[in-house]
Amino acid sequence: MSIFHSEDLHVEDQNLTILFSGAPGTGKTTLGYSAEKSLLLNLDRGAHRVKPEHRDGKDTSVCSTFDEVKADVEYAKGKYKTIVIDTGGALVEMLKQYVIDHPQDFKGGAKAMGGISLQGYGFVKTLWNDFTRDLRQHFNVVYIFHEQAEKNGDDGTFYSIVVEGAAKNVVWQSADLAARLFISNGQRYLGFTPTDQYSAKSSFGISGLIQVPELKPGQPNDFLTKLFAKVRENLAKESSDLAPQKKQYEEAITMAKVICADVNAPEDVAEAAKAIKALNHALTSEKESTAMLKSRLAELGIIWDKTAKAYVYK
Amino acid sequence: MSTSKVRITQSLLSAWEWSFKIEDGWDDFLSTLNREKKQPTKAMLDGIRFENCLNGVLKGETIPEDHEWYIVITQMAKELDGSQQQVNLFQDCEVDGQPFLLHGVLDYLREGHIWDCKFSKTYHLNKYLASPQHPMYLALVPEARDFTYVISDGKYVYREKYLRDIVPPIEPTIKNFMDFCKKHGLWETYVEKWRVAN
Repeated sequence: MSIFHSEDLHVEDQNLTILFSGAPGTGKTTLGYSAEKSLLLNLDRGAHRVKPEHRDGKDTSVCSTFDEVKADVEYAKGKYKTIVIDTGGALVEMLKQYVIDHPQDFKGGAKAMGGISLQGYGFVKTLWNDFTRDLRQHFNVVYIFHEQAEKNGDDGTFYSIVVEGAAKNVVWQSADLAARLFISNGQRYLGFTPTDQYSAKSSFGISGLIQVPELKPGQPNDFLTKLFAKVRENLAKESSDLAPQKKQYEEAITMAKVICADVNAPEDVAEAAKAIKALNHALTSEKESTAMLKSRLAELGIIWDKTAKAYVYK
Repeated sequence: MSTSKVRITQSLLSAWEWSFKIEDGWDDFLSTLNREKKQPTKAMLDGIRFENCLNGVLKGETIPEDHEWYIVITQMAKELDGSQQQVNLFQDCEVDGQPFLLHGVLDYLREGHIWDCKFSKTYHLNKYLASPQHPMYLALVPEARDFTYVISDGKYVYREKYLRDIVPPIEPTIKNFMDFCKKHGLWETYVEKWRVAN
């Protein structure tokens, strides 16, 4: 049974996906290790730079091909709660090679002279979508990306994730939350609200700048564990705060449907409009109910006659 | 200064904001300001065809599995199921003593969420970040919680979601537009063409 009524769906139990990018030395991999029960896929081979105490108790997988990545992810199912992809850019490179190495599965994916074709990039996007969909079903997912500075207008700089251009939009869609990790005045921050300097994605009550504290000796590396816990707390609160409004909304919409269905002639319209106005509205039910009535009138060919100041057939 | 109430739309504000950014932007803005009928471009016609196809599916029509947009239309229709389509809304607003009537047609509205469908072959990340559309539409529906651009290039579906608490209000943009029109001698034209009949 996979169909739930909204009140039965515990959104706070769902797996979460976060994407963040940052310049070298901002502590991206260390932050990746802070996720709960994580397996870090060390695709960029940079995990050795993390202080041992900050990856204490966390496992690392070193993969060279997409086949190895798939095998490790399969192994991780049921054993880990979070998969950390370090980096997403390196994974895209592996997917490109995978397409090139499997010409029988991805016809036209490689150029005759070597390298990936335009069609091949299409296969990469599809592979990314399929792989990340599967990941998300079993784990929380953390995508780490390097960043690059691009010129933005005459005097600005825009920081974007390092990934082959064609895959960027698809990669971004995989994340619930996305942020830029940066250092300002000696403090590390994750910026979750998009600005004219970087892309970001805020949701579940997480937005703006969140400080990432410097880890002191002996301090547990658990920033993302706590952030995910906060997201779940926000989801649970939002869900319970909204529950009465949603119930009221559903009742109003149900009633509006009945009222609209009862409109069959111009003389029914005024009464229906009055009844819709009188409903106990919540969220956007009033505007939706009014739109519903207008749509019913269009169906019946009923219009408002300004001269007669009455509803009439067209 | 005129105190006649004037209608304002996100399309007019967009045309103004793009007037300095693209070639022909200024002519396009003047044409929009003068409410001239425009010949739709191929991109616009493609967008209309895509939206009609999506709306058809939302109304219960079937889309053949071999249709060029089958995958994306099915995906989008699932997300937008149960929403009201083409919701025409007006909202009064006053900026610096000037009464405005905000006007917009929401593509989809359901349970406190607004969606706008875009068909774009040139989509890139945060394409709509600076658009006046989401601030305008969130002003039109004060009870809405968020606004999502749901975009397709025909092969993939992309989303840009803007939560109310991170979206700036529309009034400063309208104020800048008003100041610009006055400074460049366009205010009278605007009022003449966009005045709201009593």
